[in-house]
Amino acid sequence: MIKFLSSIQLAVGLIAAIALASVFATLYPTVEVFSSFWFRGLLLLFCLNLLVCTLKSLPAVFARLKKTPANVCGERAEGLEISGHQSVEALTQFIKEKGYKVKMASDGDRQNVLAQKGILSLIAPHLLHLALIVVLVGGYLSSFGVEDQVACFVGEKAEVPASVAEGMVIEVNDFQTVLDAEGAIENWITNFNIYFNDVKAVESGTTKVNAPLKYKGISFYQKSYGYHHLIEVTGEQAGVYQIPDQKIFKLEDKVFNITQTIEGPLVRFFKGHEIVEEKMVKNGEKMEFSEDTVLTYVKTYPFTVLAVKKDPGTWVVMTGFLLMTVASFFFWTGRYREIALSFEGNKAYLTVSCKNKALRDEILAEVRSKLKAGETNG
Amino acid sequence: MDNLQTPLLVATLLAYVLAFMFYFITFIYSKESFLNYAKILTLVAFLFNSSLLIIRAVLINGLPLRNLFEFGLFFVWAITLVFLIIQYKFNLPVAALFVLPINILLLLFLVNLDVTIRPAMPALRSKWLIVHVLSAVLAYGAFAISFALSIMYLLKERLMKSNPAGRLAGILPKPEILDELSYKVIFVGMPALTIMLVTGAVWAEYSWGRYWSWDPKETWALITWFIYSAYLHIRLRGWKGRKAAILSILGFLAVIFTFLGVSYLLPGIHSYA
Repeated sequence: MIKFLSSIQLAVGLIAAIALASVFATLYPTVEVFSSFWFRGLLLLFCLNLLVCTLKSLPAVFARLKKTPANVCGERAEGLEISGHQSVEALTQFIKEKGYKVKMASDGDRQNVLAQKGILSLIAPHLLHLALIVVLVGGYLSSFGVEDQVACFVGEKAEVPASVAEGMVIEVNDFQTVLDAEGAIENWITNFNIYFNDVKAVESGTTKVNAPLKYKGISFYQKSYGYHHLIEVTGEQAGVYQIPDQKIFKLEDKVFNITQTIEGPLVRFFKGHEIVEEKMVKNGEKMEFSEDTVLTYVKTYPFTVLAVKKDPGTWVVMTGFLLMTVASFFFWTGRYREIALSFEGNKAYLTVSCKNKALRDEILAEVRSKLKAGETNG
Repeated sequence: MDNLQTPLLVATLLAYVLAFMFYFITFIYSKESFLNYAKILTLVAFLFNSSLLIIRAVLINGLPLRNLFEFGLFFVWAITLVFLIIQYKFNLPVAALFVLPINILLLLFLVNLDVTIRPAMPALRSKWLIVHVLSAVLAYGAFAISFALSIMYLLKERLMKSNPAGRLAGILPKPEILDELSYKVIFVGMPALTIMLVTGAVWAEYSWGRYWSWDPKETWALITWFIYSAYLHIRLRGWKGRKAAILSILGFLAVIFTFLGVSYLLPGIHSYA
């Protein structure tokens, strides 16, 4: 069972199954795949496969890391004639300069050398496997998270949905559309206070796109925004009206809407679907419709919509992502290779371990030629 | 400087086409003297490509990585960069016959796109964009080269059986070299793809409040990651050569679908890319 769970065949089979299911899910978005029982089962099996495979191979990795220089005089080692002590020092120096970590140990008259390079790339696949497990566990924890949204006018208070945080209220101090030097929208910023059980917990916190505000495990994201317009009308339809942005309004025989633009509120008059007149207005500005009917634009009422989220899995997933990134950099440090040497009298015994045969042959040739050069120099 | 964009784009395309023609004459008609011209033309195309990216960077006052056109330009640039490294480090200019057509096809697509500079939406004004898209560029560039090498492998294998004494069979390197080189390039691209996925997810968490949304673009990037993961795992079981080459080709088709197919066929929250 352990053998099956740690097998590459299972890993490749699961990778293929998850990939195919994902292809299907993107082509048929109406079919619920990613939250289905069987897809989660595949992910669980994948997680088990990663775990068992990693646990099984970790002892061998640790053994490699802790490995000490040993006698390699044997049938597998290549025996080479050398000229004595000078060659040992020259060779170890040469290996060190090549970026190897060199360990040396004496065993009677025998001098053993172990040189290792690319240890990080040896760790990389196992670290990546562990990172994936952490991400999957985090993803599972995230399924217990909740998210919702809260809309609030500037200057007012609104309750955060109880499913996310019971007893939490926000009070929006300000909402701004920030423009860049060219006049394009750079960001939307909401400044707000947080009350928890009627006690002010956060004073003047801000949230904007790409920079959410976090408080006690609850994150506030700038999700949306909008405007209402406050107008006062005299005459037959006298009253104070709060009109949503771009909502059509009829006053006497005129049809209009008010749109918030970057420059300010813009009143558009329509005949059918056609715009017949446009006018920018300021707070307190009056527009005469007839002798009795006068519209006064009182002020703009901006509101902000914040997404609120409580997710116990996010930090776990982020930890997994960090490990994945570290593992990725480890992969780039080059293949693991190992040179083991035993010097005995005027003979050196050499073995080189590397999964890539061409690289192994290259290292062998290099060490061999260095030993011969040492012999000449000595 | 805005007016220079289209002429430079066309010049880049023409330089790649000319470079391809010179490589073609060099290898198919055995005109060795054309090889240096082909190499110079590739460098010229690369310089035009780089200049266009620099102009775009100056115009938008940042790295040009914000839409399909800009990413496409960087994609072609990265493919050429990886090819130039392969050409000089492993002395493999013949790979140009299979790499440059990818660049030409991508540029033919890009010349049809709107080059107008538009302000970036707030979500795109993030430092995460740089590392996310640059790692994508590196990964996709490496996978394009691996794709070309895999095509070369399959062709060589076929020619060795059907026409081993033929001209084309003679100019292609040994299958083992192509197989090993393709593996090496994927080994460089795969960590970059991992970093792309991770940084994209972290950025999404900051921007949208969700590190993973199963959006078509991110799902297809994950599918690509799975294909190359399978590639690396099957090699551990000794599956080299033909099977590995087919998987590498499949991986690059997934890259192309993520880049173009998803953008046009499966719209999602990555609508700008």
